[in-house]
Amino acid sequence: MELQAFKSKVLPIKDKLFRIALNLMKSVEDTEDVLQDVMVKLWNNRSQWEEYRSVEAFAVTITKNLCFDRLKTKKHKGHLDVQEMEIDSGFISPYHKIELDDSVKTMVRVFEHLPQQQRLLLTLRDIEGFSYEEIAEQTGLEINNIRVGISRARKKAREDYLRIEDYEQL
Amino acid sequence: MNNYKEIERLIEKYFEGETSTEEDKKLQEFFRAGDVPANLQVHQAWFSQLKLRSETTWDDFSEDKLFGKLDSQLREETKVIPITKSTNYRAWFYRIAAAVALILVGFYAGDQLKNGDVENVRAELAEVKSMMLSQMSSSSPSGRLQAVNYSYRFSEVDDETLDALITVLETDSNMNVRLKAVEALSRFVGDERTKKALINALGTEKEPMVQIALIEVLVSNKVKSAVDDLERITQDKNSLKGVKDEAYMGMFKLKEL
Repeated sequence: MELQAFKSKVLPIKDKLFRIALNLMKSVEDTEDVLQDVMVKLWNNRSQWEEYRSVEAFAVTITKNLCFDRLKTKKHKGHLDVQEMEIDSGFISPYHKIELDDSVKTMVRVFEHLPQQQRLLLTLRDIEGFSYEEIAEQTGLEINNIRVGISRARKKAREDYLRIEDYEQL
Repeated sequence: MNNYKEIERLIEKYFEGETSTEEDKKLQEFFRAGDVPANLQVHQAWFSQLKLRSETTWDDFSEDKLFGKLDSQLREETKVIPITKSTNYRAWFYRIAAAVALILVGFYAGDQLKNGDVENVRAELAEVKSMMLSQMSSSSPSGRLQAVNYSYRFSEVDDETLDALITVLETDSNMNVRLKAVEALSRFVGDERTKKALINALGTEKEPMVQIALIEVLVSNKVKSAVDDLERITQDKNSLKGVKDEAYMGMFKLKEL
């Protein structure tokens, strides 16, 4: 495959990959860096594309893997710490610069403090609208586990949000 | 109000992870429209932030930001490959050319040497041979002796030379020349005709010195068919004692083998 053909196949899904990586990495800088690695890996493994239903599925898998690899080295907190959240400036999510309703702002932070696996599943399902079958191919997880994971993630986000609301009303 | 009931039912399913993608869309559209009752506000905040994320695009995207590392990797590869390839090709071309040249020189030189040498040697040998053959029938014994000596120049002999040597062995009047012929022929005992000639000579030879030489040659070459002639010599009254002893020892050695 020619490089130009490769690029033209990848370019239409760049925003999707950007969102998935951003929801995992949180900062635009880290996202752009990891996506460059994704492109290198996609190109180097272009012979494996046929094993996947689409370039997109393969690209999502690689993006997920590389993001998780980097987060592993970054050491991450999976649960929400209200105190920490108030002073947290360890990451620069672009969503913190936007004017938003307080409730949405809180929810943005809640999402970002979910465990990475939950952020991934919510991104694929609730943001990108993939079916469970597609997510199974992208993540290698069983459909039932995906369903349970998504259910837990949604419930956890709601709980965290309500806890913060309670805290702020004190 | 009925509508809210439907939404509440979907919300419940949603939290169990059991809504379809179509039902998810229904929920998103409902909360996007605004005008949400207070008890559902928490969900509106959730779907709003999901919407915010789903509408995100790579704002200041550039191809370099996406393909930067890939491009530089490929640049490295293309930088390395053609240079090493071209130098390799060139180096290999010279190596092969040098090898071919060396082989050609080798062939040429070898050919020259071979042709020259072989021709010289051949000419020399032909000369020696014709001289030898003519001298073998010379009138002087020393000349014939010399001729037999010439046969040592040949590591391999042709039939003509062998015939000449055998003729000398059988017919030469001088014992020293015959003795020399036995020595010369001892190198070719492997040849069946030579072997027969030596055995025949043993049968006819009367000169003790030549007899002893023949016995030595036949015994050391393990020519078993010589046993009968050796036995005859041991029983011949005319045989010299030294020859009898030699023949007896030879018989003994050949039978033992």
